[in-house]
Amino acid sequence: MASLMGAYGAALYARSQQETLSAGSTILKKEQLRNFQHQTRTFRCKGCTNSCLLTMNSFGHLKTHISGNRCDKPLVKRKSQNANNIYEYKRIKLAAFDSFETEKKTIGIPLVLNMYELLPFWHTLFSRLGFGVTVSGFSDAKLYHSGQSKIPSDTVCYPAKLSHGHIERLKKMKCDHIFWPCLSYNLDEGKSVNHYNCPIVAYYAESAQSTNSGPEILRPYFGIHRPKDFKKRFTKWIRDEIDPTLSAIQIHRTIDYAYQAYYDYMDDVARMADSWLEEARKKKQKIIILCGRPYHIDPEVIHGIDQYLTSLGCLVLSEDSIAHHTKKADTDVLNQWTYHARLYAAAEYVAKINSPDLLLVQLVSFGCGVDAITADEVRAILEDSSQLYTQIKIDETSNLGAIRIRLRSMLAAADSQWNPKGSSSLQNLKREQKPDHETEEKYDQSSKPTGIHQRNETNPYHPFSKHARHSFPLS
Amino acid sequence: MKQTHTILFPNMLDIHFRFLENILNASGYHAMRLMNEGASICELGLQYVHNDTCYPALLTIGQMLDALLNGMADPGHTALILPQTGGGCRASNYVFLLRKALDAAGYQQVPVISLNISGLDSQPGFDLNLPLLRKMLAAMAYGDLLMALSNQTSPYETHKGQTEELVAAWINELSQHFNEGHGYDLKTMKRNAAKIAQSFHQIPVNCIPKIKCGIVGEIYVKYSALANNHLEDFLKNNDCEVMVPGIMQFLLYAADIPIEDARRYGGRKSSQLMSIAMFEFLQKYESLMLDAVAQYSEFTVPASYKELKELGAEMISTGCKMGEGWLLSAEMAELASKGYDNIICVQPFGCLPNHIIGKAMMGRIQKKYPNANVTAIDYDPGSAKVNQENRLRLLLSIAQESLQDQFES
Repeated sequence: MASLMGAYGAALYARSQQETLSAGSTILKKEQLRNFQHQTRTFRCKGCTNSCLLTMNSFGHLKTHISGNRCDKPLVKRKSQNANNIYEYKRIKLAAFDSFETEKKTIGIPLVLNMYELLPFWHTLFSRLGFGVTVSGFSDAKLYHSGQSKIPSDTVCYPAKLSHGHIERLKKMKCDHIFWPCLSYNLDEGKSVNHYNCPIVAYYAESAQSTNSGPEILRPYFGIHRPKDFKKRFTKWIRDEIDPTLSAIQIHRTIDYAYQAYYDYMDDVARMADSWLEEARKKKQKIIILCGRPYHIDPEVIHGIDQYLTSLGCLVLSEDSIAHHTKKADTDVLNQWTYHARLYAAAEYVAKINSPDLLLVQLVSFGCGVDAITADEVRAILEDSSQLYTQIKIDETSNLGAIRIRLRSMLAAADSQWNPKGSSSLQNLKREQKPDHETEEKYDQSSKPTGIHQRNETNPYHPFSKHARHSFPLS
Repeated sequence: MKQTHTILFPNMLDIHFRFLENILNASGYHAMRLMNEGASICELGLQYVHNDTCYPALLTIGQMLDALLNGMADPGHTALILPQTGGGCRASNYVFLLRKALDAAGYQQVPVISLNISGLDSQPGFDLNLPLLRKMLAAMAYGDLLMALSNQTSPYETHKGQTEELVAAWINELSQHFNEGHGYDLKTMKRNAAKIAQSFHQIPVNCIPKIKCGIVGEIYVKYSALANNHLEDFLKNNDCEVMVPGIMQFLLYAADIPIEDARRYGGRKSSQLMSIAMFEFLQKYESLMLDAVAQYSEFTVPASYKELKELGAEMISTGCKMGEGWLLSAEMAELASKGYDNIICVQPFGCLPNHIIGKAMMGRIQKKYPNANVTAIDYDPGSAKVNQENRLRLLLSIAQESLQDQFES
């Protein structure tokens, strides 16, 4: 859509619409101009305590235009539609695993990184063993600032940086131990050749501990991907570190419950997503697969992007809730991380359905090294079936202005791409921007490149070319 | 392919890779270390690899494309080698990124060889057989020995350039031995190692105290002058003695990972037999090299893998195994404990494991070794050389002060 933003783009688009619209141009007629009325009035916005001074231009009965606003509160008149949102659903489900005390010790669990998915597992495990559990809860800006001085490396992703705040919060809450295991491996979902966690998810507890003053974070290295071995090792660990009185049988049985609780949670989310998906496809409602990682449901990480999409009437689903629809994706890169395998699976699903109502948006946390690899691959999967790929980079900045424009442009682009009426020029423009695979294939393999100038002959719009990378400008 | 194709591989450790080149050429391959430099390498990397990918991938892939585009190599008769470690770091993906970049640049015909021992990728036309593997590993061991000794001799040599000449002479002589089919069995290696240590011992030196620096970090940026803007040369020109931990420890670490994994998470013994055999084999190489250095009291003996693991465990769990893992923290501890107080930790900008094993561990290093003077330097296409050098100068000025304090007291 970049090519259609700005005055020239608007003019081109208007011309293309004008040719096809049966009603003709809506430019004012001579008669109407004669009776044209224009009024201006200023008033204070009552949307919030800022009380911004707004100017309202009224053009007779035709239209009003408000300026001077600093947010979209005065512009949104009707109550926003609220479509279903799996992100919200997951938040509600996770909030049910809350804090409580028992006569035994209390275990503090920071709600960070992979805990956004494994909370049902660890929470069930400790609570069924009779321990109290304290969960640090969802993040907010205040929490981030409370841990900001403890961040050893500032270029790591925002979800990781937030964890220092969670540790600080847990220290103020009542708990005897803070528990945050290091997991090199995630559970194997059969969608990748290996099932690693990314290095940050796997070991960030070590970073949190390195600057942590006060009680040590318990950060055992567990392999939950091998339940039988995990039982043995966890039994030994919990007896050594927390409670020597627990019996092995009791622990083993509880671990079974914990796995069950985890799979119940995952199944429940997937089933809910499926029923919503079916309903939405019947209604021809727009469906956005908002792909990220489990921790992107944190309101402080996602900054309300999910809610913005539902306010536009789109059903919002996540990559993990629909990944079960496809088998292991056939990728050109090494598919070896559990979370990232779901991205490829989700992209394959969107490519397979290939419907105008199903769109994929990839959320990328700034500083996420692995997404440098997944982004190109997800894009390639989608573009193989001529689907739009949209990536949104997020960090601690909570200003959504640019992102909203991006998302609205994406919806408009999707509409015009699939709606043959009145969008011919748009489609042509889009086609020009697409990577020209045909020319690539025609490249004479036997000819020997003679010098550096050869580089200029390669297509500047190739998906790997830096010119094409950000074809959706952020602002 | 063996006869028709030239194999290009990126340069990392100067001494070790000179050996490798010689060994491959003597085994019937046409091999060439890539030595091309310049701005176009980085530019090509940015053009054909995602711009957020780590710097080593941008550089190695850019360097290979540069060689193909600039006519250094004939695309019809060239194969490319990239080492692939495997593991949870995104470095396991370099080979795939190279393949994608080659396809995008129109070099679909150029084969890519993944150099690995974990069987991640098949090897078209490249047979990593046992004699070749043994020669290559022996070269790594010799390389480590030569690097450790020359780094400790050359800053103090009375006749400038004598150490450098000795290193070159040894590389030639040992490569010659390899060609003739000997010099890489344990017995001869032991004898040769002793001779090498003796020859460095005999170089006349002038012992003025100098700033002692150590370089640790992400393996490619640590070793490759292209990636770290000739960091070693910069430090040597600023009158420092530089210790760079060898590659043998990294190989041992890589071989140890499956063993450590099985110990922690369980697994069948049979699946680790390969790793155990490799680990024990490498340990023999390691100990004979360390023994040779230990003959002479003026040389600092690098820590053995076992010692490193103990040092590392004081900093971070040895279960931390992605990228350089606990080994990086251990190397910082090793340097600090051996008097190489000024530690430079280099990494590509945004290197995921190094947030944890490098930057997060620096506080702990400083707590345990109060004399340690540690700095982290990031390398990426956007970071200016002058900024990196300013940070280094700051490190050196602190080092200079403490050196003077030591001298006076």
